[in-house]
Amino acid sequence: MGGLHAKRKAITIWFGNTRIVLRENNRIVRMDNAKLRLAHPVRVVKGDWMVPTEFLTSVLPTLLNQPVRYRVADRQVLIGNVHPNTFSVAASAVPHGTELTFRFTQPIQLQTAARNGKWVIFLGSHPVESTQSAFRFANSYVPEARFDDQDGIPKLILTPSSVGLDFFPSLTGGGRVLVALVKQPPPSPASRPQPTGNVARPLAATGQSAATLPQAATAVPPIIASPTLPVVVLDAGHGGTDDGARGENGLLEKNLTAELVARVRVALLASGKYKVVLTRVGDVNLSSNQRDVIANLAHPLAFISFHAGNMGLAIPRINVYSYAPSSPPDPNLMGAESPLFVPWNQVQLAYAAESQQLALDLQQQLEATTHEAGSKPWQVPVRVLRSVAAPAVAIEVGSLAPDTNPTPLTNPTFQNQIAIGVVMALAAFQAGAS
Amino acid sequence: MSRRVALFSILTAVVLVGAFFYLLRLKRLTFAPQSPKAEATARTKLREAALEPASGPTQLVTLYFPSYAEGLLRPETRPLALAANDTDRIKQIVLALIEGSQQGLGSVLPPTATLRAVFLTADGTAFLDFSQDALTNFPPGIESESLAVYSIVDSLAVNVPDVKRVQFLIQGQQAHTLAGHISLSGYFVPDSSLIAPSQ
Ligand SMILES: [Zn+2]
Repeated sequence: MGGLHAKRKAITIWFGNTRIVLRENNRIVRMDNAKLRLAHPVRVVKGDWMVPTEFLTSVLPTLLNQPVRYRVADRQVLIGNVHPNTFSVAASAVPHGTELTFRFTQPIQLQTAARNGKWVIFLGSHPVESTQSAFRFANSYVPEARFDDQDGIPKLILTPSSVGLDFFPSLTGGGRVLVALVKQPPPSPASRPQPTGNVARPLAATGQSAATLPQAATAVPPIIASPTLPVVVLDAGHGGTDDGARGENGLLEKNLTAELVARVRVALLASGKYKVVLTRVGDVNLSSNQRDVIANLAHPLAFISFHAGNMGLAIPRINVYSYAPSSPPDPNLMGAESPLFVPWNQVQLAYAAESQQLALDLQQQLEATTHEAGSKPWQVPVRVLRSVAAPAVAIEVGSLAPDTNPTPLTNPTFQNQIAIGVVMALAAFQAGAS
Repeated sequence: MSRRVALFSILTAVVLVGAFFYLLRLKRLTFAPQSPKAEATARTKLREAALEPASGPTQLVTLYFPSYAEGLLRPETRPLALAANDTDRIKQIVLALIEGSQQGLGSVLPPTATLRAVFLTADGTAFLDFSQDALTNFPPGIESESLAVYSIVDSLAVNVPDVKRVQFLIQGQQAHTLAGHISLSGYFVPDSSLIAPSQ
């Protein structure tokens, strides 16, 4: 808005070069030389000029040069060429489960998380409209699904019953068809077939139902016995304006690390043993301190930062790093007087031994799966590990440098070997710690 | 009365304008990077300091260069007439590292990197102030940054015994990281664990 001038019965508003004149109790809006007639007159209430909502759709589009829509149901004003995605839902029975099929008018991006015994399916950043906020289904596996976008992020929330513990989301039809398969797990973990998709269990439901599941007679501990799964924080290095390293073909480190994190995340969730927290979601800038704060709030079993950098001419190669300070810490700053407080730049020091063990487990398992992980982990002052209050390591693949063709690093087989190596290493790390 | 006010206004204006130009000059002196020409001059001076026969006799010095194939630093010896003065010696060693390996080992910092200033404190802390160029053409990575940093720290420790630790500065300021990965906020003590074991 360029300016405003109010008289007793009229108000003049400059919006860019356009002059708008409103008169009290008058339906006529003057825009420069044009006249627009509103269905309801303009009112002044306690000194505030009030326009009817149709003002938004009749006058505002001309001023903004963009389409404007007003959604009555939730009183939202949509400015620009926003066509909200809409969807229909159908439920069908499958052996020991229910399949919910959500058909969208436009493609969505799929990301899932478990919260308080419910499955949350994030639908991407594009607005989604739903005809109703809750859907009920007559089955014993998933009686309810809700749609929610109150925080600006459209998502579906599935509430499984105590038997609907296995969840297999998948996206087909060019990203337009979301199939959420909710099933009862087979009775014994030992005889459980390996799921092919991304499977994990909602936390609280796991805890409530653990008692109802028959205990396995074998030495294999039941996977879902723990009421809360340990958290693994995955950190995709760089992002936003920070591209990181760049390969000969223009491949950027920030994109490669996001790809690796996505694969490792799926592998960890598929194991059914971990909750995964990501530091960076999407192509955004995130400082080392922000990453460390996200990690520390999650109280994780492990923090793993992914990088790709200049490692000479050999490719592919993998290094694993834990944090070592560049100089011995000053004993005067070690918080001797008040042991409750640790200087922020020395937080990781208390976890040095565990981090070194995790790095060793990772180096050994990655060597087993990829044969490219060298002979021993490194201990150097990696900035992003410095303030993590948990066992923390960095994995670097390479070489990603201007004089090297990085194609081997984007090979799905290589990336999946890394993902499997990480899952195996975390299992070894937990077994060693217990 | 109004004349006095006018005089006062003019005086205030003159003082303000003067202060503005003084602050502008101060800012340029304090924060602005050196002009390319100044950088080139500094580089020439540094080269002269490093390569002109110094007072001391020519001796074999050991420089550590990255060997990426092994993920280690490898020693390389070459004859150099080291200056008697510690600060000049530090400059000579760092410049020789920037110039690169003569035996095909990896580079430490890009050839455009310039050492702007060196300062050695009485307790053995060497402050090395590099130009921004040291970073702009540096291929980033945890391994490459680690090897670059310890190539300098370990080479200085072995050739200038008075250097006990190294603090890196970029354009006169403390930097968070070398190129996104290795923290430069603290000083570095020599670390021989990255040096290839002698055969
Ligand atoms: Zn990186």
